[in-house]
Amino acid sequence: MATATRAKRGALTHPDIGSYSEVNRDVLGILSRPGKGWWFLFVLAAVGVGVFFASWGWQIYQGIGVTGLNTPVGWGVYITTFVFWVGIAHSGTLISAILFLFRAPWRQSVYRLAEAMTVFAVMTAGLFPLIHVGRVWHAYWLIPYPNSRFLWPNFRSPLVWDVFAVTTYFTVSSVFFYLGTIPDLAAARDQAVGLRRRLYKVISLGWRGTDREWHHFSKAYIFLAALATPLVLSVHSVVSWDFAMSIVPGWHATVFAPYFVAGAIFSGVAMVITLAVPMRKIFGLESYLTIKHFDALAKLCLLTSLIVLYAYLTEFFMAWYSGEAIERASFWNRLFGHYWWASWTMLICNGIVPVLLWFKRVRHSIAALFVISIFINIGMWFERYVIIVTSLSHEYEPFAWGVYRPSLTEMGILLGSFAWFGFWFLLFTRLLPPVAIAELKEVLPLPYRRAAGEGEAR
Amino acid sequence: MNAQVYNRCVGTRYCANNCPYKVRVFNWLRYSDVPEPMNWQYNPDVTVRSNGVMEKCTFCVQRVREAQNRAVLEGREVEDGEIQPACQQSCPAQAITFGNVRDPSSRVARAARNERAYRVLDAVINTQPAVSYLKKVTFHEVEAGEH
Amino acid sequence: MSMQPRGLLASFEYLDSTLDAIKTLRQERIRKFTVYSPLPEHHLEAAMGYGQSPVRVFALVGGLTGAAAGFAFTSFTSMEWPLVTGGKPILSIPAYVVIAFELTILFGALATVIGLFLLSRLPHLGPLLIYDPEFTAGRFGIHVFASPEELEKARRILEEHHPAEVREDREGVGRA
Repeated sequence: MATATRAKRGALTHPDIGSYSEVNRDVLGILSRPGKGWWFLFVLAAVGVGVFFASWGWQIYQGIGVTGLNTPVGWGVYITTFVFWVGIAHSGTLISAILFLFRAPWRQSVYRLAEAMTVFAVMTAGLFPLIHVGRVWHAYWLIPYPNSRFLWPNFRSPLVWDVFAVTTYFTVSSVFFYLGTIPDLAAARDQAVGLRRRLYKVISLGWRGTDREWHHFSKAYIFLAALATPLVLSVHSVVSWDFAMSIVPGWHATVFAPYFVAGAIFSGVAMVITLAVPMRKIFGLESYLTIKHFDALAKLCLLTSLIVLYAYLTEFFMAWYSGEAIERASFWNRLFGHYWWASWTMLICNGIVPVLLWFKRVRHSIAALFVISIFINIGMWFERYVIIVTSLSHEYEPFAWGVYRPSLTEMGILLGSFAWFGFWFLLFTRLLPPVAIAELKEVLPLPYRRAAGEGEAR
Repeated sequence: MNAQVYNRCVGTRYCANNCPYKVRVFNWLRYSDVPEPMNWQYNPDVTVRSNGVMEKCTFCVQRVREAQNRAVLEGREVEDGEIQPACQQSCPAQAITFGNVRDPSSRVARAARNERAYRVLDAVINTQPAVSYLKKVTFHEVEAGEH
Repeated sequence: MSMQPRGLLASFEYLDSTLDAIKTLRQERIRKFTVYSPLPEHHLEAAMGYGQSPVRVFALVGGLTGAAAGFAFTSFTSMEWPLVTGGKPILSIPAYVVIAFELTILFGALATVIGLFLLSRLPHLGPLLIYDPEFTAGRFGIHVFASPEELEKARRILEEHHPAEVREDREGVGRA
């Protein structure tokens, strides 16, 4: 029931939302209802975080030997999980920055939770270089700082590029997230009381929504979006170059940058769906996260799954076409060697299962999308596992082939990372408005008195 | 000579991934943390690697440097056979030869030029390793179609 | 504590009323007013006569600084301790492009935020005296500061445009 007829650009999206104030009421109302379910999940997450740090502490004390790693497989679950979390982070920025620049009409309800997912995913990912390193107490040597030995990190190494890329990504996406939330924090401040009100007062920086503030804010937001956009493409390219710049057969391929970026967006959009479905149900956001939104997300999933499938086929084809015995052997080993189950999980979850998304009935079924998104997340984790572990286990020298099995410590840290992510995300759902209030109003019909007529109730 | 600077190593294990021969070995645990008097067995000329550091064979670089330094002090060149890495010294079958492969008259250069000599993975990825192996010569009846 | 109101705060339910009020106020040469809005609206910005925001200058300068810093830093440190790694030249520019690119984005983003804060005078630390909490929900607002005679004119103009509420702003009045 729109109050006026002048709808904004391409606004397909929210026929059930009546007025601006309704948005505030619905979204801000979520913040003060932490029911038992939230507390249960939060305690679970906190326990998981405890397991995470306990495992890590044990590993720091004993050494990396508590993992299952050994020559030749020097990288295993930790780097897999690192790439997994960094990849997930990318689609949040895609939805919030790139789709902003493209003026996609469906991003407004989704992008706040997607951006939160990005920030927390980068926070999770950023822990893993510290976890996997042999001497974490010297890890700061990878950061360039003046010292008495005139030592600098090797700027030609992809690992140092990683330091810069992930740090930049974390900083820029946090800043972008925080800045975009300021007007909504002001809205929260205006409706809150007591301690919450004081918190929001501080973090909203006294935002009032004046013409001057909005004028500069809109432009700053466009520039931040424009700056964050190349990060989506570049950061995961840099991470992929950790592999592509090596000489390991199965890693040393030029297809890695676009392959990883597409994979990142793919896994990230799936994670957005995994997070959005429960949020929609629990917080009653059906008018905000409509079927059309999930349809759009599903189409993005489908597109990126096709690119990823194409990349897989390219890799296998080129390995065969090259005629190079070692390359062929490495890829044959992926499919039929010791880790055949991981490779087939990857291929089925990422290549076959998303085929269902061609069908509108599937794309419009929230439950189906949730299940498919879980499959995709599993498949994408295994994709990184396959790339890293199978390639390292079957390299040039038959004498140097070996098998790797993750240890309990590694599984503790892997599951703990999900708990860490969940911990922060749960705090987010409690403290920050999960849907972008101010931007959502931009796609609702403008309140025009002339069109509405007299006595329009609000 | 490819070596490792132990005290700068952070332990990312990227170098080991890139080694096609997998000769780089990582200190996964505190192997050197031994009770007295076991620590007295360690060679004082070689750094004791700590937990989380990568290491590899250095061709007994401490012996190489010692011989080079002595030669400089005595104002001469290092003689062929003067430097013996520990493996060569201890090998009962004298299977290992070490020396200056750029000196054409040295034993190791002559062995490397031998028609039996091959270098692992050199033809595949052009690593130009410093180590050459001598193929075993065997006799077998040549059957039709075999060579 | 003056008896005369220092300003007027009017809140509107509708955007077109607000726009018309702004136009009329400007026509009558009353220019010192602040407009509150729950969303960024380009019609409002146009009505207020805003041009280009200088934020873009901050973004540009920040980005260029980042690029320069990236190349300078990596090149300088390579020259200081020249070590050939991977057979690459000491000044391996393609590798340094990655670092410079990341620093361009980082410095550009931080400079943009600094520019935004400076230009819009955030954080706004004082108490929110002259304010209506509905401005972040569903209402637009105009707060006029003027001399008492002009304020009378302003009041008339504002009341012509169907405000939901018009409030006088004496010193200290308004919700904090």
